[in-house]
Amino acid sequence: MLEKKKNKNILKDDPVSELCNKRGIGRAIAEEIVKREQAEAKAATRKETPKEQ
Amino acid sequence: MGHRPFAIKSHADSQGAAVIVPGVTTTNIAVNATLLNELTGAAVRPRHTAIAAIKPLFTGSSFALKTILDIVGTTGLGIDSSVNPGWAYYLALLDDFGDPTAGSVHREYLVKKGVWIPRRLTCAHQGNAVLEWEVYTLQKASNLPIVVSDVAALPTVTIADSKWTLGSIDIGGVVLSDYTNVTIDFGLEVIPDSTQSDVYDKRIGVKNNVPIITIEGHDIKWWAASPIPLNGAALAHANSNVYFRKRTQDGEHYVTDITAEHLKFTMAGIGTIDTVGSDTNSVATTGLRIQAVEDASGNSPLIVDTASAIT
Repeated sequence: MLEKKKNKNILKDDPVSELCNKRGIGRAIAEEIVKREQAEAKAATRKETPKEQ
Repeated sequence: MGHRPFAIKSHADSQGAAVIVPGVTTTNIAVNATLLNELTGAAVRPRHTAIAAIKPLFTGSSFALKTILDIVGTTGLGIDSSVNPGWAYYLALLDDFGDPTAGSVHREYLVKKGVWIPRRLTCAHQGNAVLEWEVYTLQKASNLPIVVSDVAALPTVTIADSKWTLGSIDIGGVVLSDYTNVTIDFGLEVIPDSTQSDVYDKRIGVKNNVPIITIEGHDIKWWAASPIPLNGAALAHANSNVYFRKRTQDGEHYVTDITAEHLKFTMAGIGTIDTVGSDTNSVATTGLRIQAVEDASGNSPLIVDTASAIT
């Protein structure tokens, strides 16, 4: 008799896995994209912070 | 004097660092030249011949499933090389005793622009899973689609060889038993393209991405109300997966299930029974086929986790 299981696969939803899941790209490439986006976001935040006079 | 396959080095612009792929088995390069030699007048021999198109294509296979799938995923890698060198295949020049010759004397086939796609993953009972792949090549600026060098140094392979074989399979939440063969056809149809009578392709696009998973085995009861009735069954990532179990080189035979080194494919789509075959004096066989589709959440039809525990 074949054994019936409950749904068990929960797709990982961290930013890297999300990219892999949605676009089917390789994990190494997704890690690079996320790293670059995080660096760009950090740079943009730094730019927006006004300097003290 | 002769050459032997050595390794692949992938270092496209989208990659942070170069990856040297171990476990290369077969690699072939087809130049795919189209020659025009129409006859004219009463001639039976061509009086003019010319090359209209050259479409070099690499095809190969490897046991390095994790290394390659981490780069190409299930939909392929676009190779560009404005910053990094690109994608290269190495053949080692052998000395008179059959060992790789010292120094930078080896053959390198460098692809500066193209696409590296997974074609098919197959695994039979007690065999090792093999990934077949293709690299379509494009012309990048004045570079030929493949730049050949005989003064290349061999890259250093640091990734250990690994092998995977059949693991557990759940379809529609049902644990399958007695399976003997699994084939994952990544279902990528790519269209290289050129214009203006250029000889080499300049761009490429994916026309279709229609993965098909085929499972064969001895349990003809897969055809049942569950998991797969005659009218088929809808499958989801949540309840349908195929594992490939990582082997060890000891008496344990396999990496423990709880260690996240196995490969896991999940899929959404429709499962149907493909065939049931029976013959005198042999065990009846059955085949199950899954046509994968993008699900309502926009997930890829086929998702691979290259560092999974078996649960």
